[in-house]
Amino acid sequence: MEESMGRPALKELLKRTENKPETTILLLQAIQDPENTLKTFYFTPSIEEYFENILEQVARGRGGGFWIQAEYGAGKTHFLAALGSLLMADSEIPWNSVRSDTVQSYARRLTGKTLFPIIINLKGEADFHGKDNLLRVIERHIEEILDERELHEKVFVTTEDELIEWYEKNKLKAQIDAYIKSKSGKSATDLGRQVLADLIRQYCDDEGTTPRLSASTKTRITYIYNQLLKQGFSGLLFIIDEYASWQDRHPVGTPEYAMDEEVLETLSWELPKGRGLEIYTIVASQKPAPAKLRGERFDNFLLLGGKNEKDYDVIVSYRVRDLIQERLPEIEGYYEDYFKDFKFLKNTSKEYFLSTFPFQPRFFEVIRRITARELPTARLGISVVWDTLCDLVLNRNALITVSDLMVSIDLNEALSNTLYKPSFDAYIDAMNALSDFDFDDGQKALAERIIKTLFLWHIAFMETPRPLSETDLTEATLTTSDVIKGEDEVRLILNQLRELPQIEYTKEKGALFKTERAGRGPRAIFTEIKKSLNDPIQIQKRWEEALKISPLEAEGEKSLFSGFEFDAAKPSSVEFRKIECLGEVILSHDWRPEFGEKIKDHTHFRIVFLTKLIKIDPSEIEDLRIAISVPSEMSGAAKDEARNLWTVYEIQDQYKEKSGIEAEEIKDWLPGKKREVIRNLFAKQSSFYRDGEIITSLGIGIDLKKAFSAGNIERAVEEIAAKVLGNAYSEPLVDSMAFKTRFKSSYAKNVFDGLLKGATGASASACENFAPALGLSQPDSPTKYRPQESKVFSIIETLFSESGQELPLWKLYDKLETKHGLTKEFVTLYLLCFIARGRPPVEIVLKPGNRLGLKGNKISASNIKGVEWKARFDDDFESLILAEPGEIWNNTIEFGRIVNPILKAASAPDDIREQEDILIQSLERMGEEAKKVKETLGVISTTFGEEISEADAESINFVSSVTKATTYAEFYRSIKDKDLGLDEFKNVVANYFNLKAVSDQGTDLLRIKTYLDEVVIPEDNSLSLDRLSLAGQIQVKSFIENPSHFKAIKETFEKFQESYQRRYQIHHREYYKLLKSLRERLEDEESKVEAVSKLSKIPEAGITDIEIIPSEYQNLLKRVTHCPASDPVQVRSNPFCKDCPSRVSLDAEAPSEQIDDFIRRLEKNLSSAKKRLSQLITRQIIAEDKGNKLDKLIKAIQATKLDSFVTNLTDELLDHLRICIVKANIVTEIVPILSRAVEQFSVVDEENLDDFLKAIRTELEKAIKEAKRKNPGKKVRISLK
Amino acid sequence: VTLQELEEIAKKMVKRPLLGRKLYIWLGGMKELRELLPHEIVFEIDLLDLVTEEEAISEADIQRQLKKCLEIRLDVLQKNLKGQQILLVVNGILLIRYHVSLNSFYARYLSDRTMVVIQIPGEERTENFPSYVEFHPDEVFENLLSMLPEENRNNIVYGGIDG
Repeated sequence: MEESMGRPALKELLKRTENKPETTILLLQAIQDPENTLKTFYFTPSIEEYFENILEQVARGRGGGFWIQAEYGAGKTHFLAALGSLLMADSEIPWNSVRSDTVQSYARRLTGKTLFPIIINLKGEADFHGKDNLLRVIERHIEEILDERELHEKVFVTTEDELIEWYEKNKLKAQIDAYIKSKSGKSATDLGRQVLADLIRQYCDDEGTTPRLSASTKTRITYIYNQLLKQGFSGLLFIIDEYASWQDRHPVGTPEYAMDEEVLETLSWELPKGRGLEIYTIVASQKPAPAKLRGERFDNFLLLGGKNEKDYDVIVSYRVRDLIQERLPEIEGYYEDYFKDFKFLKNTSKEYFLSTFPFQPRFFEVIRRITARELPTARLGISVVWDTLCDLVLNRNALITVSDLMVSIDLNEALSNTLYKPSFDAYIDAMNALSDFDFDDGQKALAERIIKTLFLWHIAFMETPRPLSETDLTEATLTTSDVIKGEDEVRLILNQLRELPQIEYTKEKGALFKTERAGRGPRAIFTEIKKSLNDPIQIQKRWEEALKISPLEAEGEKSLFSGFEFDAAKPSSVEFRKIECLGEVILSHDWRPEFGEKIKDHTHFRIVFLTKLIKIDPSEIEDLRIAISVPSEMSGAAKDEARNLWTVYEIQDQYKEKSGIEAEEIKDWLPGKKREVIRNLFAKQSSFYRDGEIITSLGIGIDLKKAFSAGNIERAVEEIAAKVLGNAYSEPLVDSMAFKTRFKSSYAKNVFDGLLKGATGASASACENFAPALGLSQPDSPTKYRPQESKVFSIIETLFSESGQELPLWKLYDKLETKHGLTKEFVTLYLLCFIARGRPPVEIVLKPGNRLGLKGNKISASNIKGVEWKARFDDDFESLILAEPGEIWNNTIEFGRIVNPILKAASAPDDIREQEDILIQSLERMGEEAKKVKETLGVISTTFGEEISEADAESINFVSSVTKATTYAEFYRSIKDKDLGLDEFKNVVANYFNLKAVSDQGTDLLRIKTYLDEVVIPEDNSLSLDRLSLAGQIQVKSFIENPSHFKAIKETFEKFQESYQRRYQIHHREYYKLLKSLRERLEDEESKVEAVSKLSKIPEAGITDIEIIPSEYQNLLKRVTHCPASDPVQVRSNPFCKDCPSRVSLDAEAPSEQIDDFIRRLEKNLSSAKKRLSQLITRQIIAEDKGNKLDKLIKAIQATKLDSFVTNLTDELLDHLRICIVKANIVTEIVPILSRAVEQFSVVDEENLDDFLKAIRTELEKAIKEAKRKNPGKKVRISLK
Repeated sequence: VTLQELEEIAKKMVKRPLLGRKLYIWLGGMKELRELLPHEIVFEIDLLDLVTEEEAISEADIQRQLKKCLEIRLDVLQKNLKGQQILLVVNGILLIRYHVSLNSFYARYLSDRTMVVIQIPGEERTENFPSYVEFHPDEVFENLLSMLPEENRNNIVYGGIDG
């Protein structure tokens, strides 16, 4: 699971809603509690639009039908309850709980609407005779509501005509007549229709008879509607929930189905549209409206479906948790982290992420699909999501994923009891089987997450199973790894999990959960067969075979000696002193004498790897460049893996022809096991050789640990070859270590071409990399052939002169290769360069019938440019002998096109003039631009502290001067005056355009630079490195070299800025939170600061820092001033909050310590003053205290707490004390006697104690005497401070 | 649903709410049903108590009265609900007899925290009926099935005989 050290745990960022949301809402109850219903109802834009649509119709009083369709658990009832609450509101109070301004805006228009509500939940409605009648259900509800509202005597459901007709045809007519007569005293015929109908109704009530009446829906509802209007209602409101359960009872084609259609059509269309009655019918169902009612009959609202699908995620998140708003920056930090590491946020808006935090989007996809199925005992959904926000999950600092759903007990129970049961049982089996695997804790946890995810994915898509790819699973489980990629980690686990019958996995198709139960698995069969395979010779044989298994056999894995054949030399090339050297490597079961023989044919080394431990005699090795690698003994683990491989092959054989479930299972399983075994085997091959030894003729030491550290044979060969070659070629002729890069044999051709035919592309770079170090050119001009003194040339000269002017070239090759370690290509290169040098003038005689195609069958200085360097062309060199001594004019247009590519060739004077005009205009424009470029670059250069290089400055100056030309001739001459060729001119102009590109980005560049210079980030903050890296990359020089680089830098900067802003927002918020508490603390000390000021009037109180304390207090108060900006603050334009009283950077720390220190000093000062005052108030002073005013002060001084002392220090009291002191005629002189004594006596012991006391006494007497002299007539006291 | 399953569900209800609307029909005697359900959260309503003869003069009256009284009871129970509750409806046969649908339970009472068990006497119980009472178990069963909405269609439990 992707957890990060830096992120806060989820519990710090959100709170789970207090009550677990119920899966079923009681519509009536919810409407009766409108505030709670509306408060918890979330308006997504689409729901807002639906509400607006319905409310608008109601506000206009037009009536109509609305069909709310949604799957199970999508919140239909909550929708109806919220809508019903508003339509039935008799004041604006319920509207205040609405969390949508758009919807709330209807409050004024709808308050006062008095719709008669008929709320019907059709769940469980049924007629006992199988003749469901929707109209009857509606009538019954109306009757009940009339009854509840005590309107049953004013509003009747059945019409007068219906009743009278029923009475006329009734068998009991005579009985009813008698009843009427007894009640009214009149016969029925004498009564008016209304009175008669009332009496018939009364009769029915008294007799408990319900007349069986049949009237059309239209008649019945119109009749009721008209009566309700008279009672003050403005219309009817039908809210019908759970219509699907009613629909289920009435299949298409049944009379009930037709009846339902007729009733709903009348309510939604005929009465409102046909007769203008204000009737609203809102129906909620999982199913679409019957065909007849679709279109204009009912406005169809698909809740949380189609393009509004994601509304589900937002609503569910809203219902189960509250985000802590002030922690939004940290939540955004989650977004930033996951955006970096995973793809699932790439197509998701940040707004959606925040609305659904902390859930991973796939989480909703799964739970919604499971919930949407109507199951007898499993209504899941929102409450299951609530369950996942448990402590276990909230303590993590990672998003909640699909697998976390399994923490819900409700979900587990639902899965174990419904159609999911077989899958759930298989899931349990799979989870139990995990203990059989050799997983570490982290792997096991990931395996569990994978199984849970695959299982839930399986039941979510039961009808159309679909696999999850490795990437999908990595994303769904949020897997990351410190060591390997998250996807690789998932693959690793899946490769093992596919042994389970429940997990089907291939890299191509992905992984799938299967409802399979556990049985005798392939793993058990493998163990059984392995037990029977014990022969050590066979095991050794498998081990040796495995050393060189081909990648095809190993399904892509590489064995240590992949590509080798036993006892066949395999060509190899290694880098030795930066030169590619060819050699041969042999893998062999045994030692053979020819392995020790001298090396021939341009080969530089031979390394032989034996497959078993054998004793070798070093004297059998004739060449210094031969090394024999002898392995160690096979380890127990290696033998076990070799035995596993044997077992795999054995099972392959045994089951090849078998069929049946077990055979199929093992055939499916075995390839994975084989891969695992082979991988394990390969992992042990390196150590087999690493723990062995290397035998050479001189017994040179080779570090095998280092050689095999990379675990591949190429690296080992390189290391061993480097050692033997270093030993053999101890006097190098070429300073190859000065090469700028490794020299491959093919580069010799490039160097030759570059030096002798003209350097371009690969040839030029080959010359730059190698030619100066080879002594063939000068470092300042590496592509120009200018040979330096060279040891190789000296050897050629010597050999040539020794040979009597005809040197057979095989001799030269042999000497330079074998003795000095030069490769064949080097020898050829030097030889050709020697010819080209012409000193002495020599030429190569070619063999007859050669393929070089040169005149005279020789290579000389004059035709050397015509030599084509081909593979093995030097095989045709015969001997070296003495030899006899062998402009593009670019016209203006070529240069002009560099300035303006549309220029055309022309010959007629008029055409030339026309072209010249174009050129001159282009030059003028370029000249003006060049001025601006120069200015802008000047500013950039100063800001960045980077000087524009001379070459760049020259480019601009050159462009400026060239563009001054007023004729094409001037233009051409100005270029030629500078001695520039076409390419050089191209380069200068190209460089100028780079400079211009940088200048064009000047504003952004300066903005970014200033921002990065000003931003302050503590070193331990991860952003610090980003800033440093960015600052390091913002270099004018590099932009000039590659202006397109700036775009990437700008993007990186913007990301940096976003991260920085988030951190800054958190810091700003927390900083001022702390500052606020510090300020409160400081303000609590105000009275003490005032006390200090007051005490300054009494010098005897010995207050120090009288001046400093109040000003320090004020300064500190300033430092804890709050920032008026509201959090989160924006720091896009500059890196600090501009509203802060003083600049607050990320490393800014609140002055807690200074305030602590200040308060400590303040209290110390006051405590000391308190002590001094207690010593000051002596009998003499008290004697002067008329009226005992000082009592209060004395009590305050005696109080332990400083606060009560401070509170009692009034100005009046202190003035009084001052007077008492004066009256008491006491003067206190401060004489630092003790410190003087310390100067004299640094240590006091028994022997000098008397002297010390005597000295003190003398000093005191002296001080008193002096004080008396200074204060004649006063009582003096000496303060020892 | 089997007897054991009902018992298990009822036991779980003691500990926590269970998702969905849970309505069961118990075909059998009261004694066993009472033993099966966890008494601490069971509340009983006897439908016979809801009908008072004085007021009920006709079948339609009884039907209206039974439905209304039941709904009032359900509203009160739902309003005062604390924790979980199993409502045991005794003499549920009256619902069939007076054609009162199960809608009131769904519309006013059933939630994650509530469960309803409606007791209907089993076939064996008919021996205790007066001789003029005809009991047609098949008809009762058919009626029951037609009353139950799809989501609770399988929630008929065959209980034992009241001793």
